[in-house]
Amino acid sequence: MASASQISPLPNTPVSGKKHFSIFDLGALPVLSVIWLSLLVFVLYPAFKLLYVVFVVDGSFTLANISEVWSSSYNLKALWNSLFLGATVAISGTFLGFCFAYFTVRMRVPKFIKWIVATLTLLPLISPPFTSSVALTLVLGPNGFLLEFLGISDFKFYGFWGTWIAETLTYFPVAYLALAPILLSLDPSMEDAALSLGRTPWQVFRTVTLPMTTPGLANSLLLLFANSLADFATPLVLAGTDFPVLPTQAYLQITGLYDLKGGAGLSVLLLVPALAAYLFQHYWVSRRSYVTITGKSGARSSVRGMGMVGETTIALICSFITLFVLFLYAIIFTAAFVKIFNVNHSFTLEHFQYVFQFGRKAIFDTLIIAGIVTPLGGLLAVVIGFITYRKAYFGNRLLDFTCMLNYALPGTVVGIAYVLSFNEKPLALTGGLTILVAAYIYRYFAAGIRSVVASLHQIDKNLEEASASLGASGMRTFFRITLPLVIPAVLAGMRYLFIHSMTAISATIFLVSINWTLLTTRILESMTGLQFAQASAFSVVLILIVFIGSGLMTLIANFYSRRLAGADKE
Amino acid sequence: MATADLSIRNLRKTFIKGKEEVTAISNVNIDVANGELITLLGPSGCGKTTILRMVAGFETPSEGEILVGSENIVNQPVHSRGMGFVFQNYALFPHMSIFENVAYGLKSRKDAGTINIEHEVAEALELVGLKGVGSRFPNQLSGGEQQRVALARVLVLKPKLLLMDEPLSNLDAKLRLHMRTEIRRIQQHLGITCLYVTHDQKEALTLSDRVMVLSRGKVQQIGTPFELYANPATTFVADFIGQANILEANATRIEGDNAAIELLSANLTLRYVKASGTAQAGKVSVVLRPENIRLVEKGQGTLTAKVQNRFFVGDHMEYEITLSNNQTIFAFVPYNPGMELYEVGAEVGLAFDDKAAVVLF
Repeated sequence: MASASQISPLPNTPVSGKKHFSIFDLGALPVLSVIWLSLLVFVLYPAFKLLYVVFVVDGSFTLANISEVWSSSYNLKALWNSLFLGATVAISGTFLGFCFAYFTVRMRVPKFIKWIVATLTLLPLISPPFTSSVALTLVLGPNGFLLEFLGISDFKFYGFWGTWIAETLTYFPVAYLALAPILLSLDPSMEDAALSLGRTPWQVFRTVTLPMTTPGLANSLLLLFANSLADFATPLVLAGTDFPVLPTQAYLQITGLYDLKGGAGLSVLLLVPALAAYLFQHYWVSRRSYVTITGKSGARSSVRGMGMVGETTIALICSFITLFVLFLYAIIFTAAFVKIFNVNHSFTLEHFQYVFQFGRKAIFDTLIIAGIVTPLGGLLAVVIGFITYRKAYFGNRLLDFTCMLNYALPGTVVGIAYVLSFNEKPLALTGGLTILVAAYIYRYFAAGIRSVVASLHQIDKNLEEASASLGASGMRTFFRITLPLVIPAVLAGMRYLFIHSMTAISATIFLVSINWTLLTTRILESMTGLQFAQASAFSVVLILIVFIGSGLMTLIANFYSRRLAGADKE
Repeated sequence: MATADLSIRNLRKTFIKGKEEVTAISNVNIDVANGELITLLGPSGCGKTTILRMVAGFETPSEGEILVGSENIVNQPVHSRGMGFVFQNYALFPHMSIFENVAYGLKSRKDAGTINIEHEVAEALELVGLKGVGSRFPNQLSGGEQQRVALARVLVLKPKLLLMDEPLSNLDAKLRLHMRTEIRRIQQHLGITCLYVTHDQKEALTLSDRVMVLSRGKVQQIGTPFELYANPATTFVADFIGQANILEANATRIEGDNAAIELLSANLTLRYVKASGTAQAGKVSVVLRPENIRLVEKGQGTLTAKVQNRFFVGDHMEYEITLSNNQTIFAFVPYNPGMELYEVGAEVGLAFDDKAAVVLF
C-alpha cells in the first residue's frame, strides 16, 4: 500500500534562549488549546479507548481478552506470518532498494536512463494500493498470463509468495529513498583511500562502502518491516486463508464476525511489534550515521564502482525490476481497455462506462474528501509547525509524539480504534464525512509538520531580523518574509496528504458507509468479486487523478522554489 | 617496495563540462629525484590536485606519461600502484579502529600472511608519534592525531611515492606549523619521494626541496624556494610567492646578464631573469619587493613618490605610495626604535639596491 514514504525525525529544535517576536506569540495559546483538544479527540481518545476495551472489563483491569486472542492457534499463526512476511519483505525490499540506489547514484550510466529508473522507482509510492496486486494476479495468479507463457502450472500465488512479491515491489522504493541520499553523501575519498591502499574495487565495496552504509541499511530494514507489518490491502487480496496475517485477521474479525473485542485484541497484538519497530527506527537508528559533513572534503571525482561483476549484476537486477514494474502498469491499462484480459483482447470502453456509471459516487466522494483533507491538513501542519518551532511551550515533545502517533500505528489499528470510539454517543461520527476527513488528516499531516519545521530551520534568522530592523511589523514580517519561504514545504506536505487521502484504505475501510465511500474500496470490491477488468479500470482512473493532482502540486512547488532561488541571485 | 623517482611527461587533462571541453592542465613536465620533496603550489583551481590525483590513479590523463622508475603507470589500476595518498580530510575509515585503519593496506597485500601486522602497525604509529591509540576510533582523536594516523596508514606500506593533498589545511595555525616540521622530519628520515599539494606559499617554501608553481593549468616555474623568490620567471610567480611590486619599464639594451632599463625618470642597469623569456629590447616588467624599498627625503633615491596611506603592522611599517605615473606600490620599512616616519601626503624619494630589482621579459 502507498502509505509508505518515510517521515524524517525532527531536527533538534533549539528551544533554549529567547526567540524574537512573532505574531504567533500572541495568538498561540488559544490556538494551541484548540489543537490539543482536536488531538485529544482524534488521536489520544481512540488509542485510549482501544486499550480500554481490550484491557478493562466491568471496570477492572484484565488480561482475559488478550489471552483469548493468544490462545487461538490461528491468531498465533497470523502473528507469526505477519512477522515473517515483514522480515522477508524488509530483506528483499532493502536489497532491491540498495541496488537501485547504487545504480542511480554510483554507476556510470547515461543521465536519462538514471532519470527514467529513478522516476519509475517512485511509481509504486504514489500508486493506489492493489495496483501491483491486480496486475500481479493477472500475471502470476491462477491462469496467469506469464505463468502460461512460461509453462508453469503449479505456482502457489495466493498466500505467502504473492503477498511477498507484491509488497516487495510496493515497498522497495521506500528503501531506495532512504538509501540513495546516504550513498550520495558518502565521502568519495574514503573509497579512494581504500583503493590507494591496495584493495580491488570489489574489496573496497565490501570493506568500506557497504559497512559505511550499515546504519542506513538498518534504518531501511526497520522501515520496510513496519510498512509490511501494517500493510492491509495487499494481504487482503493476495494472502488468502492459508496465510493469515494480523491486519486482515483483525478486519475479518470485525466485518465478518462482528467481533469488535476480538478485532481490538488482535490489533493490540499488531500494535506492539509495529510500535516497537517504529520507535526503534524513529528515535534511534535513523539518527545514527557515518555520513558526516566535515565541510571540506576531497575533490569530488568520477565515482568509482564495485567492479565489473557486481556492477553488471546490479544493472541486470535494476533493468529487470524496472521492466517488470513497467510491464505491470501496462497490464493494468491493457486489462482496463480490453474485453477480457488474456481471453478476448478486443478494445472496449465498457469497463470505463461501468466505472462512471456505478463508481461515480465513489470518485466524487474521494475527491471531496481529498479536497477537504489537503488544504485543512496543510493549514494545520503550518500552524503546528510554527508553534512548535517558534516557542518552547511545555509539552512540545509530547505534541510532536502525539501528532506522529496515528502515523506510527498500523492503519488497521487506527481504523478499529476509531470504530470503537466514534460508533456511539457522544461522538457518533461513523458513517459521516467528518470521521473520514479526520482519519486522513490525523494520520498523514505529520509529514507536513516535519517539512514546515525543517524549512523553518533553514530560514536564516537574519532575514526576519533584517525585516524588523527595516521597520516592518511582526505581522508584515510574517506574511512578507517567513510565510513565502515555507510555502514549498507546505505544498510538499499537502501533496503527501493528497496522495494518501486518495489511495490509503487500511484505516478508512472501517469507516466507509453508504453515504460516503471511496475509490479504493470500490477497487477492493471488484477484486473480491473477481471483476479484474473493472478493478483495472478503477485503478487507471485513480492513478490518473493522483498523477495529475500530485503533478500539479509538484509544479506549483517547483515554481515557487525556483522563484525563491531566482530571488536569491538578484 | 622501495621509494622511486618520478617523471611526468607532457601531461594533459581535459574535462567535459556541459558540451564544452575544458582543459584542466596541459603540458606538465617534471623529473622528481628519488627522495626529493616537490610541492605543487598554486591558487585553487590551478590543477595541482588534478596532477596529484592522476599520479595516484584517481583520474586518468588525457595525454602524457607518468613514469615511476622507468615504468609508465598511466594504465595501472589504483590499487596496484603502491602509492601512499594522504587526503585533505584524512579519509580515515570511521567504522574501523585506528589499528584496523593502519592495518587495512597491509591486509590487502598478497603476502599478508607472512607479515607481522601487529609489529608493522605499532612501528608506523610510533614513527608518526602516536602510541597506544590502536583500539580507539577516528572520531575519538583530535585533528592533528587523525592527520598522523592518515600518514601512518600509508607509510606502513612503504610506498614508492608519498602523495599529500593539502594535508594541513584542516588544522589550526599552531598545529599546522608543528605538523609541517613533523612531515618534513619523517620524509627526510625515510628518504621517501614526495609530491605535496598546497595553496599556502609559506608551507611550500619551508617544506620543499623544489616547488612547481601552477596557474590556470599551466606550469609557471619549477625551482628551489630561494630561486623562485629571487628569480621569478613570471609576474604571477613574483606576486604569488611573497609580495611584489610589478613596474612597467622599457628595455633599451642587453649586456650579458644585465639589461639597460628606462623606469619612469630613472635609467638603470638591472639583472634579468633568464627563464622569463628571450631578452630583447622593448616592454618589460620590473619586479621590486616591498621589503627592498627604502623611503628617503624627497630629491634623494631613484624615484619620487607620494605617501598615500600607511599601516603599522608591528614588525614593519607598510607604506602605500603613488609613483609619478599614478601606479600604487607598497614599501615595507622594518621597525626599529627611532625610525623616521613619513606622513600621509608627504612627497618622498624611493631608494633600492639595483641588485634587488629584477627584469622579466
